[in-house]
Amino acid sequence: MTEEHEAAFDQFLAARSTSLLRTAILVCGASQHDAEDLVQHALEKVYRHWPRIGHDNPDAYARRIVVNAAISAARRRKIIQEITFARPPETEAAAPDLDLRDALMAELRRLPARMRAVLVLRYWEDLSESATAAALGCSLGTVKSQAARGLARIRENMKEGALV
Amino acid sequence: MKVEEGLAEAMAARVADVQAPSTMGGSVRRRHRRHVIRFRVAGAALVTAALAAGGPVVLSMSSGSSDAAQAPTTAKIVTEVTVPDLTDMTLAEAQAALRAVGLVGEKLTGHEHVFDQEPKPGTEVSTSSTVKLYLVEERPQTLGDLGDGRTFGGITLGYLPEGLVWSKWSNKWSGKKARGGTSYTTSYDTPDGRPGRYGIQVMVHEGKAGRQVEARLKRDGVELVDLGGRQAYVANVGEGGEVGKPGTQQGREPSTPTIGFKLRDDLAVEVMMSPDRAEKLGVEAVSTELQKIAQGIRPAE
Repeated sequence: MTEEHEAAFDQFLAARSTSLLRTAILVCGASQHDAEDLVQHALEKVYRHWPRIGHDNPDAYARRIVVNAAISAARRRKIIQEITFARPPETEAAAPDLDLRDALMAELRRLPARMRAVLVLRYWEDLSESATAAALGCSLGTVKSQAARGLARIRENMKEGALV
Repeated sequence: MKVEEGLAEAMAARVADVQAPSTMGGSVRRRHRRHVIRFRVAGAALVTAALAAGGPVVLSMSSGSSDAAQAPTTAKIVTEVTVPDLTDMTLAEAQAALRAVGLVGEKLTGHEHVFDQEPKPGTEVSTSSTVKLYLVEERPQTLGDLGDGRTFGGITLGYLPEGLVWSKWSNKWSGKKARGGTSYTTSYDTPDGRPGRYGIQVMVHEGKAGRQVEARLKRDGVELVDLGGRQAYVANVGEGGEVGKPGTQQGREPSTPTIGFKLRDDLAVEVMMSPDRAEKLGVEAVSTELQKIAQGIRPAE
């Protein structure tokens, strides 16, 4: 790595690491500590190949590695059943939709890892269907069907009338 | 409200307070070095000097708190202690040394002894802070007892610099994804050399495993030398595999002086000198020593 590469990688980290960490937490349902480990591992791969990918959309490459690692981690460790999502006590304690949010996150965690990843990328990262397919290395049709099924499952399991 | 809107809000709220720590770059690079080291020599070539020049010195705070993640590295600390140097200690020794000054150790990798720590020795931190410990993996002795260690992997070393002995460490691995080729390596150090360090390391690549040597013989940025009829490259190789002229540094870490050549069509050899030893010798002597070792290497009988 040249000094130029090192500097560009640092800029990339400054711009993207928080977002990647958040994605990892949502997809694998891990604590921030575990997600940091996962993201570091993924970013090491990005760093290793930086001279090759630095000029060619490193964002997408990094997201793909992080999401796939998060899916594997969720499957491998069945984090979903073990981790409780602790909400920081000071945030939005009086918000009226708090129960709804908790319930939604609980439903999200019950979905299979890849289905959850589709919903995170589509509705939290706000990626298009094709960008989601690229990030997950699957077809457009899979993204569409997984998103539809995921939403339908959540809708079914939520208390009636809360969401459509 | 639509379920996707509710979900988007719930997800945003869940991670709103999550911030990547400012230490991410340093952690990634440290991890990278460990990866490279593991890949190349499965744990032998750990060089403390390579770690001294690295990323920003930071305070290790428990993750999970957004305040800690966002805190500047110059955070004001009320009760400070100095982080001791834990290099080469076993985990138990390091934990005891930390307890003695009111700190807590957390092992992140490895088994044998500490080769890196965060924060670095000499850093002032608040009492009860956690010090992350990176330990060397147990060193494999795959090739068994090699006697004086000079004959392995189909070659014999006719010359070793004075004062160096076999480190009793060796390893063997086969090409990734079964593309063929097997590599062997072992190392030599001074008799008082500490575990995990090396002075000289030799790698032998059979068949397709020698492609890297072939490629380096043809690339720009290396120095080509003649070893009595055999052409060899001499270069400084960075931790990420970057190749540069002898005496130059690749990337941010000290580079490894390396000489490589084909002993036969199907047998390539690389001799590496630890950056520690190279620093003591100076550029000229490094190149001379590497060439002398390389010239003394012949096929084993």
